[in-house]
Amino acid sequence: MIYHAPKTLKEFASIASKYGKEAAIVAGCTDVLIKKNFFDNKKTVISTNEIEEIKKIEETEDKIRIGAGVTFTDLLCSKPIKKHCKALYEAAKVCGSVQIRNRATIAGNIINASPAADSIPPLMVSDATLILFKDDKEERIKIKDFFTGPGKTKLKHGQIVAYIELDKDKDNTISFYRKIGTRKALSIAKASVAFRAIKTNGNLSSVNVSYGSVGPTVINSVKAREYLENKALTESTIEEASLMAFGEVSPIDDVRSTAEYRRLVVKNVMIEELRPFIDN
Amino acid sequence: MSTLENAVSTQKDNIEITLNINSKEYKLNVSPTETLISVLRDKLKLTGTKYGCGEGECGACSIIMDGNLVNSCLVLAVQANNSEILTIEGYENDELIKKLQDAFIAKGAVQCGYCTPGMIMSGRALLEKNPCPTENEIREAISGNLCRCTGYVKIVEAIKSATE
Amino acid sequence: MAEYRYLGKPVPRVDGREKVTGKVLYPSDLYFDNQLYISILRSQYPYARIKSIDTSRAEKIPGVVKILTHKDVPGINAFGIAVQDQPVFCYDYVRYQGDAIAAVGAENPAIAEEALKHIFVEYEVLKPITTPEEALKEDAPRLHKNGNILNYKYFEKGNIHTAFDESDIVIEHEYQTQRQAHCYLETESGAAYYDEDGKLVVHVGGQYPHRDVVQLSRILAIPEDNIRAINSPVGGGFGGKDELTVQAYLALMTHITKRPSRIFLEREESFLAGGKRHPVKIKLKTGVNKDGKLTAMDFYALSDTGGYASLGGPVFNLTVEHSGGVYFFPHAEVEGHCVYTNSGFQVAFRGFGVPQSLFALETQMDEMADTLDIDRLEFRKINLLERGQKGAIDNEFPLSIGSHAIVNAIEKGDIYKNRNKLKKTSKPHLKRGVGFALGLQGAGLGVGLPDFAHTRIRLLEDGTFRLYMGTSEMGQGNATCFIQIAAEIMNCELSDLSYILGDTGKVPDSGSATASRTIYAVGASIYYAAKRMKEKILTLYNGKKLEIRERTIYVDDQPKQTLLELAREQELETTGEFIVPTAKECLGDGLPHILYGYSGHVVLVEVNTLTGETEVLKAECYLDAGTVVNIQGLEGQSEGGLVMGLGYALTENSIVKDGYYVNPRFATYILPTALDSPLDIKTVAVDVYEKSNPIGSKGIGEVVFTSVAPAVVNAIYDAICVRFYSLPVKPEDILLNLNYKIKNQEGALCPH
Repeated sequence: MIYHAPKTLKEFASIASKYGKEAAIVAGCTDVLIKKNFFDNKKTVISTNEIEEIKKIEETEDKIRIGAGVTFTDLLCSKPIKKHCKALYEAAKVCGSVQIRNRATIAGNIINASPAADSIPPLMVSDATLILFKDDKEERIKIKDFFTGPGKTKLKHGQIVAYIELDKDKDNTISFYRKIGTRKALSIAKASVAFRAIKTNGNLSSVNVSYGSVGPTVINSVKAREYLENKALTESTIEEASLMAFGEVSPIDDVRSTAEYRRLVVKNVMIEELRPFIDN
Repeated sequence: MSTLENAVSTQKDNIEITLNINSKEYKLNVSPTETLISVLRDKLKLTGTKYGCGEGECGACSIIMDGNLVNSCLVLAVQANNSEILTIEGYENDELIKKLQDAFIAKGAVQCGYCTPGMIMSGRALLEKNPCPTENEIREAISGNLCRCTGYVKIVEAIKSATE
Repeated sequence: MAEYRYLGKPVPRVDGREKVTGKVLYPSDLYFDNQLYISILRSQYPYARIKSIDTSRAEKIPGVVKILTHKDVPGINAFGIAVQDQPVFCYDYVRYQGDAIAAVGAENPAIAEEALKHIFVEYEVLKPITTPEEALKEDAPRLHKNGNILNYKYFEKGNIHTAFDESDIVIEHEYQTQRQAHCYLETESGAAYYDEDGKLVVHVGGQYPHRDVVQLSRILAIPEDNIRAINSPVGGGFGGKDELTVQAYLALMTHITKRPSRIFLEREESFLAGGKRHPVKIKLKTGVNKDGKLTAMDFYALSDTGGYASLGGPVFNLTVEHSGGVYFFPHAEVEGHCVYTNSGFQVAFRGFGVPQSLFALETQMDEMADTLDIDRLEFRKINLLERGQKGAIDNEFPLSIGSHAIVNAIEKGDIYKNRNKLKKTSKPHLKRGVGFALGLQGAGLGVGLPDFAHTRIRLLEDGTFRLYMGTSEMGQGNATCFIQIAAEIMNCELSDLSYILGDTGKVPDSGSATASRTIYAVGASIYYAAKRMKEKILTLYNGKKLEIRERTIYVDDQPKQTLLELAREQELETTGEFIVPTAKECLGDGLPHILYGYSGHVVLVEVNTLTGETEVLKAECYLDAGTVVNIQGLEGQSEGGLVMGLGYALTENSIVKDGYYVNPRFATYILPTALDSPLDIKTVAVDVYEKSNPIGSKGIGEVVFTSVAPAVVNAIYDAICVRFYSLPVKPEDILLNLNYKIKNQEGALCPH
């Protein structure tokens, strides 16, 4: 089997298109090496670890651009992320373990497309855009349109996620990412909720809610989001929104948890996490 | 026999890599799908790094690569090419590891000892970046390392005492 | 309390340095030139008849050197500590998912793995027996020739029927405990090779090397003298490495091919192949009067031992024996079945059948106290078994009883004393509770079973002493304790002593590292060996007081000779023996024990009533260890036992559905991490002296675990007023129960 470690996106693109389906593309390897058959029927391993241009975090006045090769630890060490992408920052904190965070890349987490992925709900509520690269062509796609099923994305063969772009939090942005795992570290979410909104004079606008691990893909809220738009946060609006959340998720029973619990805990997490944002 | 061919072909050690392990340079041939832990233990017989699960869930295989604590069972050896690797065997030239080793013994943080090299590497990685961690920061730092014997208390105490 | 030089002190572990440097070689670290790598073909079905096994295609694969099946076993194709009903290689039936059918020896691990795919087994897949209830049915298939019942026990004392009729309150519940996996960090692994004396060495982490030799000799049909078992150090055992694990495959492969061999089980294979803790269903009916006195107990246990016996029978004996816990029941009926099923296979595991009984009893004790409106601790005090009273199976307790000291210590302890203050929380949806439980653990093997420890001390040519013990160091710290005991008696420096453990080629038979017996029995044996050594030396110099300082012998404070000089003149060697005392009367099958260790656990938990998550904030562990040999070692075991208990109470469950393992991985079998475990764990050794041991010690390896789960479940009740009757108590169980209560308006949550 041949190994490639391209140094630029362009170099990657030409190698990847040459091999198509027979290329095993790896970054941090924390997801792929657990899959028993990942290298079956592959002719080459292509590592993206040496592509410097995708390892940076850049900020403009109102956007942040995260390179695909940025690790979860990089996210935690980044002042702009801590300040301007709070939900993503909180997600990075609870992903895996120190060892995993030092290797796992944000793009790897996205492309693995698990409904339990920690980076996806916060990116969803920040309405992130993925910048894809194939041959010499750039393609932009909203993250909320990227997933087609558990583990499945619209990524084509020979295409790479190069950057992730999202809006910076504003001064009056409130957000959270809460993960309910099987334990406090080294755990995959049983259910997760990301929330982001702007709060002006007590009222919410640009509300976004997204739920992880409670459907075949990360779910973008419709009902809870629409309900909270233009409302003030009170015990009663929070209760109502949490009931909407309860109703718009479709969890299953599996080895980690039950559908019943997941539904209940999504509702309760909305309550627990939104309460502190109520104006006194 | 195609799966056999596949097994054999992925196992062909056809890529030459250079690893700097504990300040010593090793040139060796690996297959593209071989993990770093397999190189350390099976090829180089550096058995101080332990294999507990092979899927990054126990931390027994933790080493420091280019300054970062990683699970060597989830690192492809080819990706470690030209990296600086620190394993438990590197203690002789590493004051921090030595301090941790003394502390682990003094505080009773070793029982069966199988998680110990990984725990010490996690402690080492923490103390390099954060020389005065709180107890909670220490717990966070070792939360990717499972121990079935000690209940973690004395391990946290040992890492704390190594900062004094 | 006597003043000791070494006993009771936190002497640093004698094996610490080699472990922190990574220099120690565990069995999984052994590599030999020219070695074969072994992989095992295991059954994919929980129950099937084997029609044929075809290894011919696999044999042709380049790099495959030898494939072994049942045909290649020269001796007896069976093993099992108590009952030898498990085949080394299956030939007629497979009885659990993971049952071994063939072993491949190949030039490298990849070829060994690949070859497994080319061995074809024709199965007649059968409907597995998945529950113990099914196993008891008349028309159930017979999994073994004597049927499906491995162990049946029945004991009665007094008359429970009248007693219940006359009781003020009778409470009855059904409890269910789960299958727990040992999860030693080092999986089953090791090597076999020939040593310089031409002996076949089998080097695998285990708990009783001399017994391994006996089993292997039967399997290989070669004399025991030709086999040498080395099984120490071990990367964790907890009872799961008492039985043979991979030794037979290594022994056979090397014996037949004459090449060294190596095996290393991946974690998933370890989950599939290895034994677990017995899941047990317990029906417990207890009677009590308004004055708080227990009247009667009707106990029935149904234990699932899986496909093979191993130590299932003895484990069940303890489940039954410990049904009454530390209390006196004037009337009792204790009954149970331990049955074979095709759901995995269950073996010894720290606690050995006792945690299951204690879970039922100690949670029901709280419920009775609450129903009577008597303080829960006071209720325990009223019912503690006193010397002279008999236990649930009409057994005596002639040796030290630590439960009184423990209850008193709990009462004075921080958590219990300040429980009202500690239970205050910052947010209304967080509820805290305090819970405790008392436990005990029979130590030693029981009546009629050989339970001895032979040890040796020798003065070496270099003027140091070496201790020889047959037992293994699995992490519990016994090696350090043996050194401390010998140094204490001989009044020498710790550095004058070295040791060899667990190598049948070099050490005498000290019995198994099990049943909380190594410090008690092997420690006693070393005590006597050291005492004899001291006496020999004193006789040589005709004196009364011995001190060894700077490698020089001082007798009656006068320097006599250096150790080196003495070693050059004399060959000094002494032996030690100890036999574990047993009950005068056998109540059947080795029961009862007479030596018990005791424990008490108190925990403060916080339950998040929105997510159902439980966090243990604080714990106190009260242990009756007799004389403490190494206080740091005791604490370490205590803290580890507590965290293992938290796992048992809250997160761990090795699920087998329809005979298939559902979560055989660390990703889905949830062990507590450092963030899930409290740092605030206080360990108190209560003041008890065990007369049957020369220094008054008892073992604690198991009591550190056995009463943890009921303490946690009692604390959860204290927090949210919901009782749980099965383990583990997961957030799913808590949240759904709370939700049910709210929906059905079963009162507000407890106003704590």
